[in-house]
Amino acid sequence: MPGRDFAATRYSGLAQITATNAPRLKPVWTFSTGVLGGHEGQPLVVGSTMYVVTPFPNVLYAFDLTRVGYPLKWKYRPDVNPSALGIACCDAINRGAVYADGKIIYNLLDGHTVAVDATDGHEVWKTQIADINQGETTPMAPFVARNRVIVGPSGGEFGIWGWVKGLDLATGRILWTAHNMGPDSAMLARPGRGRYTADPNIGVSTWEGDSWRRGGAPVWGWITYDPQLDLIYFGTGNPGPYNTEQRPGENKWTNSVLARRPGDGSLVWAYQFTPHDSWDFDSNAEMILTDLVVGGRTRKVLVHFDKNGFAYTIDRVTGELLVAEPFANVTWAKRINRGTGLPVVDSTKLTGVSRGNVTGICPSLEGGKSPASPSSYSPRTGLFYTATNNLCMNFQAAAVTRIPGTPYIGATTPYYIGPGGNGGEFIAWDAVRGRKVWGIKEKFPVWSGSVVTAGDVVFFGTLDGWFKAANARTGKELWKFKVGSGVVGAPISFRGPDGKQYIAVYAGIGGDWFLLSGDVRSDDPADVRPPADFAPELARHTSQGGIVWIFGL
Amino acid sequence: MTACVVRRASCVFLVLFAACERTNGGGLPVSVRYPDHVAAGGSQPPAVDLKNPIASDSTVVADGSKIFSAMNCDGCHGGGALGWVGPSLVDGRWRYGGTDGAVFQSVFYGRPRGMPAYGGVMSPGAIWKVIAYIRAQPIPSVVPTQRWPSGETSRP
Repeated sequence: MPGRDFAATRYSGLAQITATNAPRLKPVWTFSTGVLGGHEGQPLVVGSTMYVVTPFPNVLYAFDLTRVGYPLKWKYRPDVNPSALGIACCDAINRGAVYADGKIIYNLLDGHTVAVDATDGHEVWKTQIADINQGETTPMAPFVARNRVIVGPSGGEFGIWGWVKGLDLATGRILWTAHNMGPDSAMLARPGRGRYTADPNIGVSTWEGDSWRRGGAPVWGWITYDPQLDLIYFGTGNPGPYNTEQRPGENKWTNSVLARRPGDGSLVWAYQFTPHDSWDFDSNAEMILTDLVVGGRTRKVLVHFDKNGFAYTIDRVTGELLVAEPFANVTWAKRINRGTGLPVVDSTKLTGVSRGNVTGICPSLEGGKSPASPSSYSPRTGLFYTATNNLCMNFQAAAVTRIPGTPYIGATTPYYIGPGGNGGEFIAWDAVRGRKVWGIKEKFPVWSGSVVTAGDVVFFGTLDGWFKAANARTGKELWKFKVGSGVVGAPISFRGPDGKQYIAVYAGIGGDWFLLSGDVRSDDPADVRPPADFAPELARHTSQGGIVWIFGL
Repeated sequence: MTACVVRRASCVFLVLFAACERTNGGGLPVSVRYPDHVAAGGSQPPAVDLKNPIASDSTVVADGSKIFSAMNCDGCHGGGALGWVGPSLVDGRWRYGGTDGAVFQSVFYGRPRGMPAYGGVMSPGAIWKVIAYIRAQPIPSVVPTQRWPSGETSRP
């Protein structure tokens, strides 16, 4: 599955590659995907086949790892509506596939989920789950729990009414739809039952009028599952529009973690990280599941690095907040009150049309860490590994009108590099104490996922196109290789049919960096842009282009 | 203005239809090139001759700037129309033709790779003001050559 396991640890038990021999890593195979969009997500290895989903037009490749040169067994080319390109906020990316029940399941950008036979590539089912005419696109990686395929939309910048759906794994039929705001009946919420709030219709009462109907709360990140508790966990995205004055109230459940039953979608508990969000702090980043000793007791926790710059350790049984400390430079809040769970906000950083141009907000709306860059967790070191951004922003809100299928944003938000002058840092995080253990500073923001192995080596990539290995215990950089384009994907580790350990990763800058950098595009003679003023040298090191890399000893 | 454009739009379809009929007896139609908007059969659709009826001045450009933001154009084409998820509109280059008429058609009818049709959402007058705003923007200095300073690209 996309995060390696139900808990999304991205931890590989393979130990052939170690801190000692990692400097001898070398490329053993590459493949051009033929697609230029941002290559987020990760390859998927099942048995002796490697599956790769490209950004739009969402080609699925199946490589035979048993044969020399890893030739294709088949490729699947779906018919995807190119109109979706104008509905995708941030490049036509895809975050990968999930394998279950002999099928490779993934989302097409234009609002469809497909299941393809993993052996011969024939289409088993195809279901329309989202409506591009309402501003919904579907680049996220589906997740499978208890024979349900769980999917959600992007569209926090298009005024959608956010949701998750549960599809039947065998047929693709939509079995339930659960909205993230609106009446309890639409949220599949039962006030007063179990851990959930007793206030009825909190998804309406925390909004003004019917603003919840176009209030965003997309689900474009990663999903995890605890089989013992029978709960799925996922984060919701920002409220829309960015102009807060068009949506007074706490705007529940935007920027939240929701715990639902995969069988029927019912909402068991929810916690909101950033109430009445002023800064586009989506909470779609992964909720990594593990057990940690906090305050002398072993707790079943989820660990989450939010765009708002705080890392949260939460009891995943009850939703109780255990630890919340900044992992990036934060100016919008002084701290998180552990008792109330609410941020102690610096009111001078609140935004809205009437507040004019608000300056000095950190992190920027790219997040202290992007949810597009999934973290990893090693049970051997007890540490979490994550990319981070050191960007701040000014924020000028504007009133906007919703025209379905067009952007619904309402802010101008120039960025600048934060204190220290490094654009980002790859860090190791102690989620019990809430502190950074080590970090590798990078010139540009770090936007890749990571994988950590039983050889205590952690892998990540950089926007200027380096793929790196570091000692997971010390943070010492062990090896690097220039992979041809900036890395916004997530590496994986797998055992090949020959018994050897390999590392695979996509190169292919894009996603937000297709928009932000301005000048990494070369394919369209009718589109020439100046570079971003906060990263004027990025395009000196990279252009677009999707390549799958495999490294080995 | 509205009635005029609607009438011209329906003319386009009539001319295209007529062009197709003509080519039935005369072999294959000539290839259609988007930038030139040469119709199959060689006939120019009349919309190509559309000229911006609004004389551009600073008031019109300022109005166009406000409309560009209010109609969410900047959400895809970026602040200053410098390019975002959609292409730059101020680099002096055009995927679908850069004449007034061609740009008007791109906005009014939409384009296949994501540009929604704003006909019916924006009035023709508003579209012309946006076009006046776009034309008033300077072309970025990186067109066509982008240079980086010599010397160290230091890492922190």
